[in-house]
Amino acid sequence: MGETLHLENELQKHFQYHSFRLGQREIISDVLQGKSVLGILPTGSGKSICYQLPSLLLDGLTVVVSPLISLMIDQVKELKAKNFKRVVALNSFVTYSERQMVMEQLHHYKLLYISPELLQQPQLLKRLSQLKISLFVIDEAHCISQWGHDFRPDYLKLGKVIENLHHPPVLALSATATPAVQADIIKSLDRPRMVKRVYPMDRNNLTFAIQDVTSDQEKLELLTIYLNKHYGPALIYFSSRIQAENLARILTEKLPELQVAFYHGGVEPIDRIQIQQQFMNNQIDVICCTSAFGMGINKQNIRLIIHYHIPSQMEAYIQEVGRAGRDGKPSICLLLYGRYDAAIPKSIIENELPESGEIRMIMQQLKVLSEQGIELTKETLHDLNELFQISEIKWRFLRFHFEKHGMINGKKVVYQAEHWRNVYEHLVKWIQSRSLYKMEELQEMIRWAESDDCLRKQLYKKFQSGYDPPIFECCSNCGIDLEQWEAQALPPSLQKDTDWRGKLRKLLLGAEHEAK
Amino acid sequence: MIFNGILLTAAKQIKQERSTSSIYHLLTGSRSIQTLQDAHIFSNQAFFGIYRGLRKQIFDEKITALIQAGFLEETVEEKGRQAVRCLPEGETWLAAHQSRIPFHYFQGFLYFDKADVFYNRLLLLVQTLSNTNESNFSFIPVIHQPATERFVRQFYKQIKENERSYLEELYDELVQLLAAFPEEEAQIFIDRFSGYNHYGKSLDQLAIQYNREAADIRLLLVGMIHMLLQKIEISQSDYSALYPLVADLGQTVKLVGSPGKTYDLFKQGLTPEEISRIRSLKINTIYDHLAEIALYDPAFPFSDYVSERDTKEILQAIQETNSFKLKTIKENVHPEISFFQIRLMLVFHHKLREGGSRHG
Ligand SMILES: [Zn+2]
Repeated sequence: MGETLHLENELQKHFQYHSFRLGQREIISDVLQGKSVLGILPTGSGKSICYQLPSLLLDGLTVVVSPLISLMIDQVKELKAKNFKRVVALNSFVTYSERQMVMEQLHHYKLLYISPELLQQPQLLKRLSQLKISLFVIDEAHCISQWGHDFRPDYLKLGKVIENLHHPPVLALSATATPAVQADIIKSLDRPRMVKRVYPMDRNNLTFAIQDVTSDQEKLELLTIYLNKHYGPALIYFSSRIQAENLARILTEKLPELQVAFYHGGVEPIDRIQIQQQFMNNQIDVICCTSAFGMGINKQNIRLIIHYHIPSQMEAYIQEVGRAGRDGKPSICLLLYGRYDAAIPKSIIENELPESGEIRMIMQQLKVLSEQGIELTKETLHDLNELFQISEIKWRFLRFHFEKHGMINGKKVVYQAEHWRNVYEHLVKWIQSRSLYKMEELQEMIRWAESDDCLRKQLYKKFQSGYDPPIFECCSNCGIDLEQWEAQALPPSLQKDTDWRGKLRKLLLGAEHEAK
Repeated sequence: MIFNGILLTAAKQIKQERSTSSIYHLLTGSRSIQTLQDAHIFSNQAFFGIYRGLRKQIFDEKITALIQAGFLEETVEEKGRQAVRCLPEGETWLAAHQSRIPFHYFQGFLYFDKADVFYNRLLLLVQTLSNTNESNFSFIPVIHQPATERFVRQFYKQIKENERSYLEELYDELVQLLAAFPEEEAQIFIDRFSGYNHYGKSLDQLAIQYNREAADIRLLLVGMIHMLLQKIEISQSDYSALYPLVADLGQTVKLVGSPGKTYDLFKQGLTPEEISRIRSLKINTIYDHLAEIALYDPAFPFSDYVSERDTKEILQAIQETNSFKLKTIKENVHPEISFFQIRLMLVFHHKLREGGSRHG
């Protein structure tokens, strides 16, 4: 009792929240007792408090591994704004000399955010191993699982890192992890006695709707109809960047009263921030985006999430629709489903990992390098890349496995005929089974889209038994009446058509000078 | 239109001596000796590094479109060497659009490095001051670069006491500078700024709003920044609010990185062979560096590397073949002359010409 009260006081003192949200207190008290924990908490439930508060209360440094650099940067900013100064982030955007500076001062910090790639650097790892690590946090822990929807080879090396840091308590967090993925996380970390804290991920304020379509033309008509009803801020998810761009243009023409923009991984950094923040700031009503959008965005009143293409996995879908209605008010999740769309995720799955032919070619080339005694420098790697035109992801994947099996050692290629043949066969088999698994996941998503049963029940059944009854309407299979949904007034456009001098005056000298 | 105009102009100026990818390296500001020299030799300095981060795929698509439109042609010599040619239709298009493309804004060779730094600082400074002026200290910075953030933080500390008067000065200076551009360009420039309770437009949003290509918006902004930089640097005392944003950037062109280290040893009087040994780099790499040094160092001792007789022979070959291609020249001089010597002479030839008839 006393301890509970104590924790709430600390929460109030450092973060100005009055009470814990679901799961936070349990996870935090486990962690404070030095236990390792696997925490599965739904998107938007305040996962970060689970390590931010302990980092202040524990003696030593808390290390948070996160694959999302923008999220890392945002969190550090938020913490600093809350007067939590002993926090720092290290990632590939931080220059070498700055990294050196941070490393020297590392003992002054309580909380370190770091990207998984940087954790591979021997120098940094050595420095960390000299410090007392009170807690090792793995954010987006499903990335460690080869069966997760966002597998990252760098995450597989975390087990080794933890060993190097003298086995500190581990907190693995994820918003979406099926029981199979959970088991995989625990296995990869080799912590069979990890405490599991799994919380339901269903959201009672979301209404699920699926509309069958037979053409992109029909999709466009439906988009126009739904957006014209002005339910409120909306996100439209696409599988392709080009289509997101095109639709943003078409919708801008068709719906001149709405501000429509697009966002994807190819947009440059300043623009990504500007678009995100315009959306937060109600300068934009609709964003056409790819799955790159949404990580770390904390807009409370997104009312409508449309999927223009079917996602390749239920986990991904749950995570994306989870961005709707953070304020708890009813929100719509609409999937525009055309049977012909399955080709896109299928080809994404097929192209994600290298084919056997590609692997053979690259191994052949590496063999030539080893015979000629050529080192793997930036230049030789660049030439290899030019030659095969394989994607960054594919190359990182192969490199990881080549290093793991000792075929690449630092800059050296170590050739050994039989060993290489075995590795090749092992890789091909592994990739096949993974593709098969992903195809099954896609099939499951398609079955969901085509099912006549309650969509809510079907969506969550893989993760949990049962769900909260919906506070508004359930799903299109249970029957919904869109007339029930209230339109929301459009926010007044923030920037009137003043001339540039007026805009600049307002920016620099403030609103009261606007009319000067 | 701007992008097309620049591609066609660059192609026209390389006179079929290089391939399209040389234009790509030019625009993205590749620091290879070849690109640096080419920029000089073909008078494409203005376009050097004005489109950093341009993706090769986008560039290729644009070139293909220009070829399909009958403006450009890619030729392949019998030896498989590719070159690009600006066709008469392309020249006609250029002539018709010349007056509407702000070619004169661009000064890539002077500002390719500074432009980004200055622009990022300006964007972040305006956003910061706009917020602090309204006593808002928590906002999401639009620039996530530690160096830029540190600069602006430091700068803010300096002017904090006189924030209000600084803002008024900054306003006056920007208005004065932007008034020199057409209204729509000034509008675009300002629409990109973020500030208190307001986030600026992305390049793509500006493209839709002003019915231009996104690439053109980007190039226009780069060109405008070059113009601003030029004016600010020429009359520093007139821009007391803006000049501090570039004051620390120093020399416009400097030798950095590996060539810089070679330059240090070179100045101590070491031979290429000695430098190669000390730095454990291939001799050819050192030659690459020396060619770059030759381009910048006004006192580069060409005669230490090329005898008088060879100089004559190489320069003559350049003149006779009317070519800047290493290979063509090599075929027209006696076999003991090396590629390195020819490259040095190309630099020499260029310096000679530039010194004798600047802008002539
Ligand atoms: Zn239902």
